[in-house]
Amino acid sequence: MPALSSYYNTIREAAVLLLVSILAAGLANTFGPSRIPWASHIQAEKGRELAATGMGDVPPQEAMRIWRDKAALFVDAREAEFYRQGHIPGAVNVSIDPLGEDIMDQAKKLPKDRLLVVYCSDIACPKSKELADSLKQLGFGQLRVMVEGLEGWVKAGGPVEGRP
Amino acid sequence: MSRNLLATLARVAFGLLFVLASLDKIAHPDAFARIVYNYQILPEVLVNPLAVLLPWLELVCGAALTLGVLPRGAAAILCGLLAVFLGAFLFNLHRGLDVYCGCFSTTPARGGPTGLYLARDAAMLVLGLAVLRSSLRRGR
Repeated sequence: MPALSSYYNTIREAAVLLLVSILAAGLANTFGPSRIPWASHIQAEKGRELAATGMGDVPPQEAMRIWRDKAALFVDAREAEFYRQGHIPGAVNVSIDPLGEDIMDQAKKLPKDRLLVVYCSDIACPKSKELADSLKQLGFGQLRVMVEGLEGWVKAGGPVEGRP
Repeated sequence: MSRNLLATLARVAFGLLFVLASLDKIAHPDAFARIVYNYQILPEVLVNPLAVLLPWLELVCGAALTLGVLPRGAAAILCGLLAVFLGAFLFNLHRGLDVYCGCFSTTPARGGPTGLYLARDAAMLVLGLAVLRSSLRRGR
């Protein structure tokens, strides 16, 4: 059993290392080549990126109307396990899993003459936008992204199927 | 003697792992900030400061451990970080959030399945705790 002073020294060492790290990080992000703003900028950037792709955002309320009218096929971009746990009824799973099935193969089950609404877990997940980008490159023309994802869908009162 | 050698090897290996893990994140703070953001655990105002600090903390502590400088503090911090990563990952798994771990690289294409992350993180934590224990025993 180490002596109590050993723990005290450990904390002192950790404090020194933490201070050095804070100093290095501060200097790097002030003078270094790849700086980022100290305040978060990601939310705003995500909005700009989506606007730049030309693929419109579908708010959950509108998505529910589209779903009721069967005017689109919903595409779940999350990993298969999450899809199995719960997804929009009728949605197909096309997951961007590097070790899973290739997107090109998975995309064969999607119709090109129908509107596709892509979603992932919530507003912060990148997969829906990434998948929509990939599908666009594969020649799918009618694409929209439900940016608020399954979380927004559930909040808006949308149904979910799958095992909980 | 061989026990000492083993302890040194473990310490150097554990330190080097973190040095390696930090480099890509230091080079691409923007990409790493997105990964931290996607974990959705921190309030937005803390995302960027932490995304800048964490990789440097890994580098400084990893280098310190590799070189045997302030090894107890470095091992304690790195074990703490691993425990926090593991906790954050499990927390998101539990609430059904599909996040990319961003452990060694900021490129999602190089990720692996969830189970693998967990097993790797847990294995690293076990190694880290062994290193911490041996550093404490040797404490001068």
